[in-house]
Amino acid sequence: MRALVGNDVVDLGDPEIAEHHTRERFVARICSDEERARLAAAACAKRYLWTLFAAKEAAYKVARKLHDDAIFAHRRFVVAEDLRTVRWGDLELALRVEADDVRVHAVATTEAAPALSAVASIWRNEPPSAAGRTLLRDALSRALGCTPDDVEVARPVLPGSWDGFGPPRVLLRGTPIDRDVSLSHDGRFVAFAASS
Amino acid sequence: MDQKEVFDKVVAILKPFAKNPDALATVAMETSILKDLKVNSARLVDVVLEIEDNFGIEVKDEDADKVKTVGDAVNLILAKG
Repeated sequence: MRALVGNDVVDLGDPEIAEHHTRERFVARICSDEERARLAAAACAKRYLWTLFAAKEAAYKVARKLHDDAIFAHRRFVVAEDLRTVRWGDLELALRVEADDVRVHAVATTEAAPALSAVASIWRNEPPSAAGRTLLRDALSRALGCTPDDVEVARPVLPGSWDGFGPPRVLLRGTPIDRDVSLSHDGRFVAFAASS
Repeated sequence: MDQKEVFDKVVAILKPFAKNPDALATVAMETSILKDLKVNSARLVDVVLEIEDNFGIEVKDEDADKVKTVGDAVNLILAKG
């Protein structure tokens, strides 16, 4: 089976999410009991909460590709203490998290091999979706040994999805390639992940 | 509470979370909360909590996941009311 990826980026500089780690009901909606205990003991609770959130969102994107009826019930996506796996029922996904003071980026995959991924800042007034596609095309063209113009990112129509389109697909000179990809953006950042 | 009252209250709840305030000017039952109003997934959780508080209902994960449009939220509230 083709390896699948999901990713999520969170801009920690967004003032609107600055205090969510102190909001009991929000935390209870997102975290399992075990995760809540870890959050309470975390040196930086804010970063830890959004690390868990990004990991769950990334894993949900993979789960949704595997199961059309997957729902985003955050507590059911359980992040391991070492932040290296996310479990959803019987499905265990490999997880990679990169976090610093300004952002968190999580990548979940069905394969052990590391996915290609990157995060970039959005230029002022640049549409996030265009910025994400540019980042993905540039990185994939380097990996594939071609030019960015050879790489196209398309989203097929998918009735019933949140915006009417399905997950992004990559075409190389017009032909679909066997690499799953995931795009995300939040605040000042765009990010992508691609299966290896 | 009738549909119009619930609709107005839902729009008021969504207002501070909408990253695309222009879409609020033409908001309707079929307006997409994520695509049109550009409420992100984290803030959607805040919206669900606000709906619970304002309407005195419990919104289960399964119900929350089905809410794509303003009308979905209104109908969910009316169904639980």
